[in-house]
Amino acid sequence: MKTLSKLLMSAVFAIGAMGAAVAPAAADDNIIFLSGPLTDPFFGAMKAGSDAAAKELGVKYQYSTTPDFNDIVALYTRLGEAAIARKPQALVIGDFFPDSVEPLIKKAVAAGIPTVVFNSGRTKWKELGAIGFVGEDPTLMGKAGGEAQAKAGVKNGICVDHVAANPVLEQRCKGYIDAVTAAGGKAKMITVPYEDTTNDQKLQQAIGGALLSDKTIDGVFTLGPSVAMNAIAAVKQTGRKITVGTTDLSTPALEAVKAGTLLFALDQQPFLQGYYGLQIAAQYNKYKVAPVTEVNTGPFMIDASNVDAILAVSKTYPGIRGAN
Amino acid sequence: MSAAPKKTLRIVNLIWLGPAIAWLVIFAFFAIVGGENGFLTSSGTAGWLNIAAELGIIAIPVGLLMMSGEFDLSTGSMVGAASIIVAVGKSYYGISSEAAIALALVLAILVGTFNATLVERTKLPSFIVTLASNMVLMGTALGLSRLLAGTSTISMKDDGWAKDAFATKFGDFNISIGWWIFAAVLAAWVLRRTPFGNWVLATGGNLDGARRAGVPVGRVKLVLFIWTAVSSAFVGVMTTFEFNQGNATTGQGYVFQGAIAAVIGGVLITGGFGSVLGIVFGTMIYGVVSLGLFYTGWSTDWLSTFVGALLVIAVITNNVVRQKALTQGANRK
Amino acid sequence: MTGITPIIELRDISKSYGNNTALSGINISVYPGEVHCLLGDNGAGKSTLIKMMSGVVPPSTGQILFDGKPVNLASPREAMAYGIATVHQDVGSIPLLGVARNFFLGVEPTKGWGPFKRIDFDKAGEIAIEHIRAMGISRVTDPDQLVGTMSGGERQALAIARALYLGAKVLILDEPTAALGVRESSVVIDAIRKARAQGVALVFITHNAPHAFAVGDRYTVLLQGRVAASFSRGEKTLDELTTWMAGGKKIAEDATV
Repeated sequence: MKTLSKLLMSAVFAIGAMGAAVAPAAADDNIIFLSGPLTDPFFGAMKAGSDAAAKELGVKYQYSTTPDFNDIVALYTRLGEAAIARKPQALVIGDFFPDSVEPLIKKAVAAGIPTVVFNSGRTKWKELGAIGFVGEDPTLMGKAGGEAQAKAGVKNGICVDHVAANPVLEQRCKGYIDAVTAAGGKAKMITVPYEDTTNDQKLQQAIGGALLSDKTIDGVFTLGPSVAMNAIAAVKQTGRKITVGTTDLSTPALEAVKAGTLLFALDQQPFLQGYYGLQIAAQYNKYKVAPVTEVNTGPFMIDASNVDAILAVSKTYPGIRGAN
Repeated sequence: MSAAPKKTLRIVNLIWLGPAIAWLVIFAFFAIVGGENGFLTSSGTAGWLNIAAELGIIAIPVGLLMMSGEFDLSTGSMVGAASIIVAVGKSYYGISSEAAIALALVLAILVGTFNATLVERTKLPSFIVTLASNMVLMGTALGLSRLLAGTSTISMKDDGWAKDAFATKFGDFNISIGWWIFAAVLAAWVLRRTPFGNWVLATGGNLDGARRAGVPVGRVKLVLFIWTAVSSAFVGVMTTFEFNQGNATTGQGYVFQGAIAAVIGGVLITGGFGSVLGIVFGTMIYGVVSLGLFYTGWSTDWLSTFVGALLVIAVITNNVVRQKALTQGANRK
Repeated sequence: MTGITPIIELRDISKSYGNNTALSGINISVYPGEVHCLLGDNGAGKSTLIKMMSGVVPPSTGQILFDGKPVNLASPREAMAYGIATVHQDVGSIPLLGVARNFFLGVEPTKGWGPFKRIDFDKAGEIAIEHIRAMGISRVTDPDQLVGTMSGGERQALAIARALYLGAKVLILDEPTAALGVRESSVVIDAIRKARAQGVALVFITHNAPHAFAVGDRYTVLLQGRVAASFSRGEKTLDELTTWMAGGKKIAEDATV
């Protein structure tokens, strides 16, 4: 009975909160944070970060996003145009799609809106006139994974791109492949069709197939914690010794690091991208201060040496590190 | 011609033969190209069968529904919603597996009833109605999951009976294959042998005619919509126990893959024609094609191209088979 | 035919939709073992009359008697319960289903118990073929033959056979020969004769004077919602019948000027 009433109460709370979420925000004194869809736990953690920053700094902001990844380039661009038209106090925007987002950033800067770039766009933000950048470099992320695996003895690796045609994932794979190749090994990329991005069975069997088709593969680099678990299961099926590493993380992935089935999880710490992104914008507005170089939130390497501490925090604050 | 009733081999009873031959050809192709790379090993076989099993459990009722002249595009969200219910229920509220599964199945019955009622009342195409409910359901599952748990992917650990029922492995073969066979035998029995099966085909073949003949077409569709939703929820529950995690967005691939498997399996997209065995072979074709490529060592970027080409060939073949069925025995003098 | 009670009788029936009078002062008696031809141009009120007899719409005034007793046919289901069946022009068969499955659609015979209850295909096939043969269709011998492979006339015959098997006492045939060629029409006419021989009352709606002349026992000509003429077999020649139908059309045209 107790559980049931708890469930009901949560449901009531949930409905109330949903109502609050759709309430229109005031259109002048906001900072607008243009982020990716909350279907992805990664952006959930980012929003937790920006929420925390807004609360601690006492600023108003609006977290604006597309509902999911469908047609995201066009929708994200349109959201950006709408945000600029509202003349917010500041804009925090991810340069996920350079060809369509960079003209937007230029437009915002020209309109006098202080703009912070997050996540992607580290080589372009200064040129575009943004006041700061916080994020990762997907190539560096892949490189870190490749180097760590090469160090662990990987000679023939595969990089699993589970969101076909995503430029960031492709860059990470490239970074990985280059790093493994530079260390004297070889590596290639496999892709899974877009609609199967969240199909665990398909991902596991696809990786299993790739591992079976080439008996010399001794390293798998995945680009998400869920896929990492699929890769671990596929490796187990082969009975061979294959090193698995991933970008991003989840509790099961962290537990796998602890258990030794996963060599490492590379975190780009989306919470910090959300937190610093909003903080840079707010502090620039207030004090006109801003960091002069890129703020790097990743790759943050989680391996056997630090996994216990991170697991403890993940249990206390679920969702803070990305997937739970 | 003799006066006594006589039986001949009818094309309409051999709808499955086309997909079966196609499967054989495709299987042989990948066996030759990918055989050396382990496609034919027990592990390789289990690989595509495990994928086919989960898709197949959904594709069968989707195919039956298609035979009755309706679509259900809300299957994907039903998988995700069931998965979230089980994971949130067990991980965050500590309810039993029985209760969590029961909740998921009750939601499925509600969703199926909702779809059927809306289609019946509004007379709108089920394509649109269920596309809408797919989005509503996915959004709600995602929203609630993030509100209650703060994330869309929720870990769940269970080692009870449900883990045995849904995630047992025989070597590399998942128990889901057994569930799939059960679902196929049940559906084949219903379609071929029972009055209800006759009503399904009649409803899709000629809606007004079926209604005039006294077939409760509304009830036929209601049962099929619920069947589809419950099967989708079943797959959602199963994968949650197998992979120890619930995800609100999982299963979206099934929305069209289920329909694709049914069509490749010889189900007529406008209704009134199809076989369960055909759907099973259609699903197996999908399984082999979507996994076989990973054994060839070729670039996997081309996977969707293969599936798309297959779909076109299947639809054309089905059309020819149906025309043949309609001319067979027509020996007009 | 005096002394025999009509199986269905319409007494002083009228029907209006708002200010529009579709039928007025209609008296028709249909007897068992007879073919009652209902003739008239489009808009003469034939379809309203059929709908009334099959319980789709109620009359505004007047009475419907079934077997001598006044009845209220509130729904098609109720009409069917009395044994009033309608075979529509498009028949309503399911082309991609077999003969037996079509014949027994909605009333499939079953065997077995509980969850193992299944269609008794042997029984269904035997009965279906037997009854179709009784309608003069000898070409169809396999109960699995798809109805879509049968000719239009054969499908009409199948529908008539099904209605008779399900216990129809009154069979309303809504222009069964309208879309058919000469040979196919004769298949249907033949089936109508065979049904009549079984003692069923048939209401045969048609535009075609030779068809009506070939098989009719009684004739009612409708004109602008009224009975313009009613007569029995032998009272008019085919020529007269044709003239009547053509004349009726002429009069109708004159009246609307």
